[in-house]
This record gives sequence, structure tokens and C-alpha cells, in this order.
Amino acid sequence: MRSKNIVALASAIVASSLALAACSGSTGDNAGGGPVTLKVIGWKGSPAESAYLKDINAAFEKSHPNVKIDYTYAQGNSYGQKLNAELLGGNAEDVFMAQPSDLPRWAKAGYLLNLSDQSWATDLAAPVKSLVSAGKKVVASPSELAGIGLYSNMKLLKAAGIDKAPTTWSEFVADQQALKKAGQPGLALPDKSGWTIYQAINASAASRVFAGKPNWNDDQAAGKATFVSEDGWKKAMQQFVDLGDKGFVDYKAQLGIDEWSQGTQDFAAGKSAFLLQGSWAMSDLAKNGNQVQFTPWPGGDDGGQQAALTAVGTTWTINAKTSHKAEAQEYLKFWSSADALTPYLTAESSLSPFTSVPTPKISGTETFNSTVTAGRFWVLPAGGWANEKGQTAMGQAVQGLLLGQSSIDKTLEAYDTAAKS
Amino acid sequence: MTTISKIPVGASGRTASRTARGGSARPSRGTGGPLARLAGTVLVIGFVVPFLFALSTSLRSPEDVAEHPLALPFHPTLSNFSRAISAMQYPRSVLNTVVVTGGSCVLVVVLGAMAGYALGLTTLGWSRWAYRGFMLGMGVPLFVFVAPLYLLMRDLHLLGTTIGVILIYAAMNLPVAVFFYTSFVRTIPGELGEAAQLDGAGRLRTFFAIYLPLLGPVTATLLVFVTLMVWNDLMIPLIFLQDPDQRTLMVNAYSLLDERIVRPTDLFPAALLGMAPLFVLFVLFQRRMVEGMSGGGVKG
Amino acid sequence: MTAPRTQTRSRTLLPFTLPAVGLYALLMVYPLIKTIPLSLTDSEGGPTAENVGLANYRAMLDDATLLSALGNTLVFTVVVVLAQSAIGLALAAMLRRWGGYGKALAVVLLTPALLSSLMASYIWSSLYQQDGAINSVLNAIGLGSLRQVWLAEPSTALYAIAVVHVWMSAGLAASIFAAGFRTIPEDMLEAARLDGANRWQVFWKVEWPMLAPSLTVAITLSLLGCLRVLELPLVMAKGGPANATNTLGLQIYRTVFANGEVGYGTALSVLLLAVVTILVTAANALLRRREGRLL
Repeated sequence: MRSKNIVALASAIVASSLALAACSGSTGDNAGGGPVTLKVIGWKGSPAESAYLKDINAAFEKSHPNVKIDYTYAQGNSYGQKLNAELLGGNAEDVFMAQPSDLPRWAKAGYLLNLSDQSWATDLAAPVKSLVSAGKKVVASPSELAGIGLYSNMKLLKAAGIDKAPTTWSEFVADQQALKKAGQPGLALPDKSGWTIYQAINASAASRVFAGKPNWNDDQAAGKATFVSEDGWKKAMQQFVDLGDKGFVDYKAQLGIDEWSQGTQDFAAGKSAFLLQGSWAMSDLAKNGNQVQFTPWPGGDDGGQQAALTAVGTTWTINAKTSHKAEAQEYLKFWSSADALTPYLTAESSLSPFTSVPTPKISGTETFNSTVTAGRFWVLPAGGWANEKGQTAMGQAVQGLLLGQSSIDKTLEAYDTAAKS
Repeated sequence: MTTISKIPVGASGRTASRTARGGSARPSRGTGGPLARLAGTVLVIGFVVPFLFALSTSLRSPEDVAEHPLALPFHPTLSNFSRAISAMQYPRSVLNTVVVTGGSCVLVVVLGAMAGYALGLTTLGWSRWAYRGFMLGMGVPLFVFVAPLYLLMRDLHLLGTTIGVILIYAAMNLPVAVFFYTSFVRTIPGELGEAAQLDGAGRLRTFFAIYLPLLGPVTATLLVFVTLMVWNDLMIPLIFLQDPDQRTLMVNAYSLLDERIVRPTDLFPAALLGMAPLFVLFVLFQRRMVEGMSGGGVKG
Repeated sequence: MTAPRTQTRSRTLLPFTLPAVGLYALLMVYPLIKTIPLSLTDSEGGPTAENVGLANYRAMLDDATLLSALGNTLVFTVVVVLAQSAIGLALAAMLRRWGGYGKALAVVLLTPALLSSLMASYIWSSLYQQDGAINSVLNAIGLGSLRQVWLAEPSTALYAIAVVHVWMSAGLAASIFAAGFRTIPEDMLEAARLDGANRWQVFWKVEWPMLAPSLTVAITLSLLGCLRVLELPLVMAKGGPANATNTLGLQIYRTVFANGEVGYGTALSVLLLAVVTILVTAANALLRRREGRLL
């Protein structure tokens, strides 16, 4: 071997990669004049999704000719890592998406612009406002109130002689019995991420805990209430243990099914008649000409009123260090108007978080939306016990319960441990 | 350095001669018998089955896959691939990835070989500490110190530059390189280098003329290791590059992924396209690599 | 080797390490040194944090998930290191007897290593599903009773993930051993055969001891990969069911990124660093001593 050649080759490669690196280096900002480029980053608008986000940004640019939107999509898992580093480095995008559970932390670190004085802030529904606030300050603009509830495939239900989606737990159990008898597929609770059953229990709690104790979350946060001492939580969990005992749900199988890919595909393909999912999944689940109903989770007893579980999904925040504050505030204002929200909420099948912007009508979601409009809804406290940490720990604890490794009391104790920050 | 003698390391057949003492001096050099060969082949084929599954899924329409996840591609379509190619901006991202991977490999090999050479030849105090310091770096996952690293790269004005990413990869892979080279240099008889120095060759010349060529085999193994790591990494280009035109294959492949809607027909073609250039490279250099890895250099 | 000579040697060699040490110190050691003090704070990733002393380290003692994460990591590591080395060795020993055909098969063996572990996770998740390929094959060959929801059953999930790791890395192990086989002088094998040793005896008496350096490399690399494992359990089973596949790497990842508890996450990283350092150093010392004895 001739070492000279190797060295020559090596230096050639280094030199050429340096040259290429130099070429591809970032170009500086345009100086003065011209339109302002507003950098925006979010986890919505992947190439796999339809182009609604692009359309909304284009509409904004059209009505604001002096602003250009430079939107970056980053996939969910990696989004937080990228943004956390950028925020610390002080060079994050001007406007970024945030989950409600990130807001308290980011506000404390001084990353978020105070938005309390914005016109839309007074237009927020009360339970939503507390979720986008840190202390007394509004720090984010919610772009949706997502529902979490029961999807029913009406064609399969009809085959078992059922003509409407269940509204109470006893109806729900009877429907599953009827489906089983008719040889039809039943309820799917795909739970590989520990998400579905955790949310199903929360959805039952909407009727069993929060309908009677609307301030339960505040009490819990103040240390005045615990999961293990609340009978409604025990009953909610017992419902799911019973579904397994009665043979309606095979939990071992469900724990192996991915909520996001397989679970929704199975439902769309008619392999399950009932599924717990978020309202955003509607467009995916209703394809193949399926007749799909999205209703509040039927967790309550006969005679009681149904309550709906909702969650603040995506929110927009403004970087406190932005040099385009006015433009960024304009952008958020646009996002609180029907021009942006109607197409977005339609694509996500979600509810409007603003009192002045109506929720778009989407076939199949009428019952759910009217329940929320009637005020019978409860918002998941994503800044409290339902934050990411709590969700992971509680989801895993519930899996242990349904695999028979643990008891309801032990599971609720695990909830309390996870909820203590 | 002349060519390393390539003795075909044949093998005895079905353990020929238990009774061979005094009998035939040489056990038969069979091929391991047809049965063993069959078993081995089946085992190895088992390794590709997941790829065939991914390929077969990639060739079918999303509706078809949702309906019958395991069926064969009776109506093969390339539309998944063409969609992935345009969504991934394939040619551009392949080029970006090649530059990043190539640059990192060169830096790791040059710096690693030099350090390993020195650390392998001496075991005095400072070198022992340097070696230990490098070894410690093998145990740290990157995401642990990504925040201070980001601040550092910002202050060095290397954010958003390909060269910055190459430097990070080089630093991250140096521990493995030092580990490889140090252990290999230790197996090379010291007389080799000393003889050269007696002939009046300086340190640098001894390194390039005597040691570097001998390090060929271990370099091949190292290159495979580093290439795979850099090529398939997502985090560093995602965090340290910003311009969409700089994005690597993995970043673009992952941007196809929305956790709420994971479709095999989007993901599998992207996975296969992501590894395709590596596979081509690998088949092209397969002989070099296998031969390279199979050292024997010490025998000179 | 005499002392003065070693010293001059040491001095002339020092410059060779400088570029590597410089780059490594700047981009790895310096950020690490900036990070570790965070483990003594309540940092949430922001610019400021309160000092909390050793509270994060004390919190580990009460963290039940941490203990199971440590256990899972160790079980995973032992299983993978043993399986990967054994399979790699067996394949290397087998394929080298087959000349060109063996080389062709070796290429096939290495292909899984080309795939990124995230992508591999998605492919295998499909295979492991209840009605996925693996269960269908079991059914087809009359072993239907062995069917499992592999990733949902706490007793199989961790091993199912280990299989994927071995699948990806066995080819690399095989190539490391293949390189080792090539370094064995033919005359040593010949001599053993002339002494009447059968194939097993040749292997145990000659080849196995001569492969000691390869074993060191294979086991060290494998240990490093396993102890930090993150993507496979994250994507394939989300650490579940009921934390059965929660590893130390995954626990740190979640603590830092999902929970934003950078202080505690850094303390956990220090623990991981200690575990890796102790195990890798111990394994290396043992294996090197073994090399010294055997060669």
C-alpha cells in the first residue's frame, strides 16, 4: 500500500467536504427594506398530511404582504429536542408550537412573550384560558380544543341490530354483548403507548369524577384530593377490569397494538366497531365510506348526564427574544380568526377554543360538539397531573393493572406518586 | 510492505479423522457438508426476511396493505417509492449525507490513527490518562449534553454548517477509533518501528510508512462502524443544521413520519431508500472490506 | 524496554495525540463538564436553576421505575452480548469454510446493520403484531400454540427487542471474528491437525485462544451499544407493557425531554456513565488479562 496516496486522497476528501460545507453554509439575513421573514416551527404539517397548514400560511401572507412565513416541520419525537436546544441558545424561531404541558416550564425560563394584552385573550373559554396561562399571564394561543371520545362504526353496529351510539355504560356493555353475539368485531383499546386506556379512564372520569366535582383538579394540585381516595376513579378503573373479565376486550392483544398507526387503520378497515381516539382522527377513520359517529365516552350511569373529555392540543407561542414582535403578534391574531381556524379545525375535526369562532360542522361529531357547547366538558390538565410525565407513568401503571400484576388501589397510588411533581 | 499472503484458510470437513493419528495426515478439506451448508444458508436467509417483508409492503398500495397486511405484492406499484423520493428530496439529501459521512470518516481515521499510534506505543502516565479519558466518552449518550454543545457551536459560529456537524461526529467517534487503533498498535511488534527509526526515519515518517499501512484492516472495521453510525443518525443534523437544503437522508426520512399516522407504505420505502446507497457502497467494497477486515498484516 | 528510551519515545509521541485530544476535549469533554453540575440543580433546561445539593441522587433511591430500568438494561445487555457473540462466532466459523459462497452470505448478514435502528424498530413492530408475519409463520408450520403478542407480553417483550438488536449487530460481530480467524497462522492449524486433533479440538485448542483479541473487541462494542439502548424499546414498545422494556437510556430520555427534568435526568446520566465505565472497564480488564494468558 502506498501511504502517500492515502494521505493525498484523505486531504482531497477533507478539502472537498470543507468546500461543500462552505457553499452550503447559511446565508445571512436580508438587510433592511423588503418583507420581513417570520420563522415558524411546529409538529403539524408533515409531508404525509394534507396541505392545510400551507394554505393557512399562504392566506396569511396574502393578507399581510409585508410578511413572509418560513415554516419548518419537525417530527414529534425530535421536536422537543430541537426546540429546547434552540431556546437555550437564544436562536429559536419567532413563533413556535407548544404543548400545554411545556408552557409552565418555558414561561418560567423566560422564553415566552406575555400575550395577556392581545385581543383574542379575552375571547378564550374559561377552562381553556387557565391551560394557556402561566400564573396570571396568558402565554400561548390555543389553536384547537380536541375531543377524546368514542368512535362507533355504525354499519357494524347495525349488523348487530344497534342503531345509535351508546350514551351510558350499561348501554355500552349491552352493545358489546350484542356485537359479540352477532359475530361482529367489538371494542378496540389499542394501548402500546399506554395512551388509549389511560385516556379512556380519564374519559370515564369526566362523568364519574368531574361532573360532580368540577374543581377536583385544583384540589388535587393543592394536595386536598388524591386519586386513591376518590371513589369515581376506582369505579372508572373497575369498568375496564370488568370489560376484560367479561371477555369483551383481550388486553394482552390490545397492549401490542399501536394506537396511532395500527389501531386507527384497523378501525378504518372495519376490524373494530368501537374505538377510543381523539377528534383529529376523524378524517382517517371515516374513509372507505365508513359511517362513523364520534360521541362522548359513555362512562356514566343511566340517568346521569354525559360529559365530554377534551384536551388543548396545539398552541402557538411567541419567542420572547423575537425581533419581529409585531409581525408575530399579527400571525397569532390571524390564528384566532375564522380565516385560519375554520380550515384548521375542519382538518383536525376539533372544537374552537374561542367563543367568537364557531366550531365547524363536521358530520358525525354533532353529539360530541353539542355536549361541549352545552358546557358539559372537562379539559385535561396538561400543565398538572396529566403532563407528559404523569401520562407515561400512569399509562404504564394501568397496563400493569390490566395484565393482572397490580390492584386498583395500587394503581391509583401509582397515580398519586406520578402526580406529585 | 508486500501484499499480505492470502492463505486460503480452508477447513477440515466433517471432522474427518478422529482416528487420524498416524493415518492420513490431513483431514479432508470439505465444505462442511451439504446439510450444514443448507442449515447455514437457511439461517442467513432468515436475516433478510424482514427486508423482503419491508420491500413487499413498499410495493403495494396503502389501501391494499391496510386490508391484508401480509399479502404479497400481486399488483406491484412504484408509487410509494416515487412519493418517498420526491418527499425526501432524495438526490440532494444523499449528497448531503455522503459529504457528512465522508468528512467524519476521514477525520476520525486520521486523528484516531495518530492518537492510537501514540497511545499504543507508550504506557506512561499521561498516555494512560488520555486513553482513559477517551474510553469514558464511549458511555455518554449525546442527548445528555446536547444543550451545552449547542451553545458552544453557536459561540463558535458553527451552527447550521456541515463542517460543524462533521466535527461533532468526529469527536463522538474518536473514543471508538482510539480504542480500535490503540489495541491494534499494541499487537504490532515494537521492533518494526524501532528498526525504521534506526534507519533515520522520523516519528512522522515511521507513522506513515510503517504503521499506517498496517492499520488498514482495523481501519476497514472502524470505517464500517463510523459510517453506519453517522449515516443513520438523526439527532445531530436535525439539531445542528437548519437550512432545508442541508438536510440528510435520515432527517428527511423522518419528516415523513407523523406519529399520529404511521403508514408502513410511507415509512418502509423511506427506510429502504435511506439504506440503499449504503448497500451499493457495501456491495462495491465488499471484497475490500472482508479482505481488509481480515487482518493478518502483522505477519508482514 | 529501558526506561530512558521509553521516556524520549513518550515525548516524541505526544504531538500525535494532540489533534484528537484537542477536538475531543472541545466538543465532548467541555460540554460534559458543563452538564454534570446540572445534576446538582433543579434545572428544567432553562437559563437558571436552583442548587439542590444531592437531592437528585437521593431521589434515585425512591424511584421504583429506575430500579426496574436498571434491571431491564442489564438483562438486555447480558442476553444480547452473549447471543450476538455466539451467533457471530458461529457464523464466522461457518462461512469462512465456504469460500466465495460464504462471502456472499456474509454480505447478506451485514445488511441489517445498514438499517437505522429507528427504521428497524418500525419494521419489526409490524412483524411482531398479533396477526403479523411471525405469528402467521408459527401458525403455518403447526406451532400455533406458541403464538404470542410478542411486544405486549411482559415476559417476552424485552427478549423480542433483544432479538432485533442481535439481528442488527450479529453481522458486525461475525465480521470481527472473521478478521480474527484470518490472523491465525495456517501452520499452527496444520500442526494441530498433524497431531491428530479433530475439528472441535482444533477450535478449542488453537482457534478459540487465538480469537481472544477479537472477542475483546466484539464484547466491548456490544456492551457499549446495549447499555445505552434507547430507540428500540422507545419505538417498539414505548417502554411497556407495564415498564417491562423501560431501559436506563429510555428513562433518561424521558426524564429530560418529556418531563423537562434536566437536573434529575443529568443525575441519571451520571449513573449511566458510571455503569458503562465500570462494566466496560471490568470487561476489558478481564478480557485483556485473558488475552495475555492465552497468546
